[in-house]
Amino acid sequence: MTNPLLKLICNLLGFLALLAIIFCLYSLARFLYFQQPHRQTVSREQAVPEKYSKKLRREIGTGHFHVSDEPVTTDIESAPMCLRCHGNFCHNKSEEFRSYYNMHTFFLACETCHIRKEQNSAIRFTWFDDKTGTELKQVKGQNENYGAKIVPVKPDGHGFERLDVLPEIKLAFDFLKNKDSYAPEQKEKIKQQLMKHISREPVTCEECHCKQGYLNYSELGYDALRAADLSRIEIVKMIKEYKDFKFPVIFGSDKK
Amino acid sequence: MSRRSLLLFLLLLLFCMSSRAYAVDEENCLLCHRYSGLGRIDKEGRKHLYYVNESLYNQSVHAKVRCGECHTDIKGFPHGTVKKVDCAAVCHLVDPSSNTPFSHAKMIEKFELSVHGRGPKDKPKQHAEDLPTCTYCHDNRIYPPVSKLAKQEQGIAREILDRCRGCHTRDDWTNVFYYHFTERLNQRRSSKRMVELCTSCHEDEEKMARHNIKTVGTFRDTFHWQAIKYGDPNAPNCITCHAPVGYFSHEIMPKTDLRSAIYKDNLVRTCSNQGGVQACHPDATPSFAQGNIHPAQYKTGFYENKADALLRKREIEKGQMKPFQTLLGQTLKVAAGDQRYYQNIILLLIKYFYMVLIGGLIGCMIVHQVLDYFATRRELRRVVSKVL
Repeated sequence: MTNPLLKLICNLLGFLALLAIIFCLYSLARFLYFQQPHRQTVSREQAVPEKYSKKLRREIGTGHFHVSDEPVTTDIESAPMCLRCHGNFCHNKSEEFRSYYNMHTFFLACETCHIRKEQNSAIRFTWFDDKTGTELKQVKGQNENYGAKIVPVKPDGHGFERLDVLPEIKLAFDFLKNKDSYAPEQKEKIKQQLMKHISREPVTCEECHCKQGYLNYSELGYDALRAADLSRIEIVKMIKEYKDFKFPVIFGSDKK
Repeated sequence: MSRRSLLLFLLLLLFCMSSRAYAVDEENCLLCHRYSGLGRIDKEGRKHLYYVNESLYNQSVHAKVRCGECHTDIKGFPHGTVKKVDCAAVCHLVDPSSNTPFSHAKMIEKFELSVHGRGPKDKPKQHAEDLPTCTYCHDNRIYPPVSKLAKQEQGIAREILDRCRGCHTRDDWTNVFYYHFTERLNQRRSSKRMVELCTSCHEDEEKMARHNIKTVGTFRDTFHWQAIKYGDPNAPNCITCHAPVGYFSHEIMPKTDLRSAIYKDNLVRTCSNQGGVQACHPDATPSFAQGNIHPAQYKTGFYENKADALLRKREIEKGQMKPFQTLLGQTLKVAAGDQRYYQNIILLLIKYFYMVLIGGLIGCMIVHQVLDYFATRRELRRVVSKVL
């Protein structure tokens, strides 16, 4: 074998064959002697507590009976900073309203309600895609499940500034990383600093869901029928004006 | 037409239209429950999601059942604390076989007396919280599209659905009936999913120890599991043996019970499964049926797990076993009996023999190949130098 190129190719092939054999041997040894133990199953008591950072996986016995979990997960990578701390289902104080408030976190940025627009302010509201962060003139989907949120924006020179970005994002990341090592007073101080742009009184249900409300539904792209629908407030009235609103029994669902 | 009669006609038309448009959600629960974020986290950190996907629900087993028929205690708004749904409740559906209101009550009654049930009401079992409830195994199943069913079972096809529609003109009714009927011809879950479901409890050592039951971890060492794992459609899952033809999955009994499919005298019939969808081992004999499908608690070898340790601890406390009797697998000998202990030793030796044989054989082959490679190179070099 005088041709050096041929020799080189033969040597390379030989080494490749050796590597392949070693890999096969390694795989065989792993299969025979180092088998992974079977997956430990999750007991019912360990039912997955909702964490925004975890995409829900349907574990046996812990799933939603109506099989409705799937569309309700959001990827942490694209989550707004507020939700990374507070989670998707962040409202908990008001027993009557908490589920309704939480429902809104899927299509409203927190700042839409929690930064109050002053009268004659230049702040406007517009849709932004959750994943790409681009402004949308139209959204697709149904039941407010559009993969987009209504975000307050402030005109800024040629463009606008999104108001759903924490002013001190670096501090927020630092806080998330080291929060367990802070003393309670220190924690409180940082929290106050992070939240200083948040209004003390959030926008209320009645302020939005009324005629000439806080949000202009037509400008946000809702058709006239839906805009009119959103400008009514039956549910809030049902809760606030009736202590116990009895369903009318006309469907026979209470028969025994 | 007078104005009055026109108004009446319009009202009637509106009524008919609305009752058709809201056939399922007559109570208008979806006014709120259609929003995917409707939910909360409780004090224990568990998520409660109140969202119902309308299109999925309309395609589900319970599509014809109104919300209020299961959630019977919701009478107003806000709902307040809502009770868990009682699957034994009677709903508006009519059982066509008896023309009586439909309920799962009979099924639940039988289930409660089975090995998985809570026992008679006057004498409930201990640690009842460990036992499976309806929703542990069942969710509101979404019917698969006809195209998927057609792949699973011969004779199920779109054309047949169209044949039904020839007489049954209401598509929503025909679809649900067709889906229900054709889907029940098939096994509800894949065998893999079935094993996952059963082992979600039966591999939980602590839970099994609470009920003095041994875990079934060794099922995954068996040929049956390997066949399931690699997708053999005829491979047996847990239900195949524990509720074969003539038995019912909601009435599984302990193996010491005469009514159990794995009671020692019933094993031959279970293994052969004559009359079932497939006769698995048609020539099964009593000695064949005696084999251990998933030897309880210990794998091949002196395998010990947490449940072993707990049982041993209890036996030591009761004075049934000496503290140092656990050396060299004596625990197993005591716990499992001599015959099974020696069977286990033989299986262990066979296993080790093959592990050494396969590893040694392949290892020697590799060494041989490597040496051969270098020898060939040396030989080539020698020949080339001679020629030159």
